[in-house]
Amino acid sequence: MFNISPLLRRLLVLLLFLVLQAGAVVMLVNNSYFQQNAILNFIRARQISLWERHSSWVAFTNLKEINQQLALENNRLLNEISRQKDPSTGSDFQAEDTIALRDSFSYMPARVIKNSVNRQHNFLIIDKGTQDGLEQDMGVISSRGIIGVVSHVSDHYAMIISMLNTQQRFTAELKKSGTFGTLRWDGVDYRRVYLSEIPQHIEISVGDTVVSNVFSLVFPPGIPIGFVKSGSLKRGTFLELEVELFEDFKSLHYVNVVSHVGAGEIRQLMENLQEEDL
Amino acid sequence: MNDFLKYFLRFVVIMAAQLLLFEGLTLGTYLYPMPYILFLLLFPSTYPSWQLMLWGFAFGLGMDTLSAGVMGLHTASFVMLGALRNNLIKLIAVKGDFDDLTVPGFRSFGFARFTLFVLMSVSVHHLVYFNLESFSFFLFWQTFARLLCSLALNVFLILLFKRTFFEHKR
Repeated sequence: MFNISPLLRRLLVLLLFLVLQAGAVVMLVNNSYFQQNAILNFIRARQISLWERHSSWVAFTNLKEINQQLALENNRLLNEISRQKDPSTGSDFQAEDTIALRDSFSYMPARVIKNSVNRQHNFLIIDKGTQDGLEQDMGVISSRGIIGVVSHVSDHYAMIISMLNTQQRFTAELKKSGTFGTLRWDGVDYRRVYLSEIPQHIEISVGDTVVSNVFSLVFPPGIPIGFVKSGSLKRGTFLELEVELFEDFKSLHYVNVVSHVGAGEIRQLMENLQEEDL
Repeated sequence: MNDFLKYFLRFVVIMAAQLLLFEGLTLGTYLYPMPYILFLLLFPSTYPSWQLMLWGFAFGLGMDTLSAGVMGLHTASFVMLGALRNNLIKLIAVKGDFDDLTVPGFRSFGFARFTLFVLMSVSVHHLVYFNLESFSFFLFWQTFARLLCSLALNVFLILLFKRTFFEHKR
């Protein structure tokens, strides 16, 4: 072909290597699933329909288990209704509380069409998107715990950063004492997460329930997440608790997307505050 | 058959197998089957490494976009393997071991040296892949364990598939 000296040739090969590797690292750094989606809308649409078919087949074969889950949830909701009924009149309790209304959560059921548990950064894809009113940063829960946060939305689908993601942190608290800490996954076992930054003086016993935090803008407070399995002192200052999740992420078929009516306003307020600080 | 066409066909078949079969296997955190690495090991020993890199880049990009994971992981590790593969062959080759058309394999290298070659190649790929995936040395021992377990699995799978599908009978 051409007569290039071996040295120049080596340099060119090295240059090509650097260019290709730089390309890969750039992709890695500003990685976004739905950017890929924009580029590959055509392929992605077919892929999603494939995943959808697969997940509906899996859901069909697991109908018995799903029915059980639904029955349990129905039971829990019935209990909730009876608890909210006004005991004196026996009629449904009508709240005329506008503050509560402003701070309320609404739920939207969705079906999981893609899920993984064996990566360091696990994602879910659900079959609801902007057309169903989904937005970024909404929380996703199931009947047995919190699942993750909506990270990207397209017209009919949304991608969720799973709780099983080593880069993701959530706030959670101990139901008994109300002490809150940071919940994170260590990337090993999809049934186990860690609740850290719990002060030493808090008394903890094995089996204590961990629930979602009141201050969270994403999740409704008090959703059970898991129970404490063991605890250890970290760096002599804080307790780190091993939490076993109630939810089995591997057999997740239906989730609820939570939208918090006041969240946008509160976020706005906090942003204003930060700007003033600067 | 035209060589390029042959490689392209392999490209499609191996990627399809990886995406449709092996990506769906959930064997736990520690085992990630990635037998697609075999793709780069099937090129002739004297295939220019810049072309290997381009093949690796294309294949990795395809894997990344189609498998709905973090972008760039497969690409970075496969380009790295493409760049180093020929040097690995030189490491284990004996003088007069191959002519231009020899493909690395059990017959040309012998079982022990070919296994060593596969082991080194998969190690290069996995070192890049798992370290980039965890993106920190915070979970070093865990990343290390994932690397080793997947390494053992993938070397086994690659040797198996090489033996089963890509060794020409004579």
